[in-house]
Amino acid sequence: MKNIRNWILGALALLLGLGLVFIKQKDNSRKQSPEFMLLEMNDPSRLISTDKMAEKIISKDPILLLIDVRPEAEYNKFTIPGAVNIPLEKLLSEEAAEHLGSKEMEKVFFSNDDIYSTQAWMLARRNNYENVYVMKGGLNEWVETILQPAEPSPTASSEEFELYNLRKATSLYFIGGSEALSPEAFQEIKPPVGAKKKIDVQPKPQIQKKDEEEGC
Amino acid sequence: MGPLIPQGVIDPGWSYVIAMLIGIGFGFILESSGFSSSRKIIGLFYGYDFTVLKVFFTATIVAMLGLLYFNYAGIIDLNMVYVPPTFVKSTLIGGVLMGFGFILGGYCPGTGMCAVGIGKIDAIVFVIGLYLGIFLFSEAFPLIEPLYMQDSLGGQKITEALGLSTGVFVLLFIAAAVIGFNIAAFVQKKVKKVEY
Repeated sequence: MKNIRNWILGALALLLGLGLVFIKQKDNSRKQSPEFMLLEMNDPSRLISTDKMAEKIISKDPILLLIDVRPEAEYNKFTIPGAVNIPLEKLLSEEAAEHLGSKEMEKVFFSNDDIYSTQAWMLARRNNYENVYVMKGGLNEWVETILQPAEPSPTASSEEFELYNLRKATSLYFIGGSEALSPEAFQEIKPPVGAKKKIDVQPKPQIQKKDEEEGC
Repeated sequence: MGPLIPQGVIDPGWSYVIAMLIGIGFGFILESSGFSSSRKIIGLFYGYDFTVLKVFFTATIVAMLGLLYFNYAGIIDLNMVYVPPTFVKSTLIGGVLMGFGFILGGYCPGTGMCAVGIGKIDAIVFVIGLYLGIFLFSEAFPLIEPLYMQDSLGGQKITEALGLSTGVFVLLFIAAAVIGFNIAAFVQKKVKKVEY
């Protein structure tokens, strides 16, 4: 009887060992190596400009996920429309993992400037989350370039005027309401003589969005 | 989830308490396997008792299968499990010394403590010698240190050194154990029974 028991146990051990030959050993570590992080840090492709961001929001890019990493109080005061709030200290919590874990979504971190958002990006990359980006310059640059673009000096190049016109048009989308209706907003900005004017100010998105997104 | 201490599930302060509990369990298993008898342990070298071989082989297989399947299930991260560094020269010298002590005294350190626990006089003498050895080693450490620390190969794994996949190695190891146990049983039958 004892002999049979020994044989059964031996056979069981062999069977379990055989199983290990066929199952692939998983690497449960989700962390990236320091060498990998160093390469990642020097790669500027994580940065997305505010102009690109605005374009994505206006075109209602379905895979875009904006993540505000500032504290909740600041998020409640002001944020970019459509952004979700994951404060930096909650970045590795389980709720955050639901947002960060979706591989196909393009996750863009932003804070008041680049610092907290880059920290969030580092944490996310170190934990092997893919498709994560940082909005260059954060909300400060967002306000400077999109919400209140500064008019270029009259001697500026035509490209700068084109960019300004584009930004002004974009700002109408985000600001909407009274600001959008003020005559100033419709005023055409005259580029210097000789400059090409390629981009028209299109008030279309403003009309589309007006009732939904009133005020900021 | 695991390993529990490096992942911060258990505070490192508990490690001595856990070590104590594991130690009590280990001692209990040693004693109930009959390892507090020096004759039983030495039986391995004379071929009349292979309990030591069987118990340690089985323990290794159980731990190995457990860790690998836990890793597969995502319960433990094997990459975070500490692998002590390999020192070839000092391990060889230390192993030979340990072997001499083992065959002369009839105990290894753990089983010696076990035998002291049940009051064996030879084990008490053995453990006194053990502490004497520890004292001499500590005092002479500055002299031994260059040899002790020579040529660290870092945390080496046998599968990486052999270039085998973990699964294949484990299967071969278990097969070797099963064959080894059968050979042991055969030898034990042939060798004259020793009463102890």
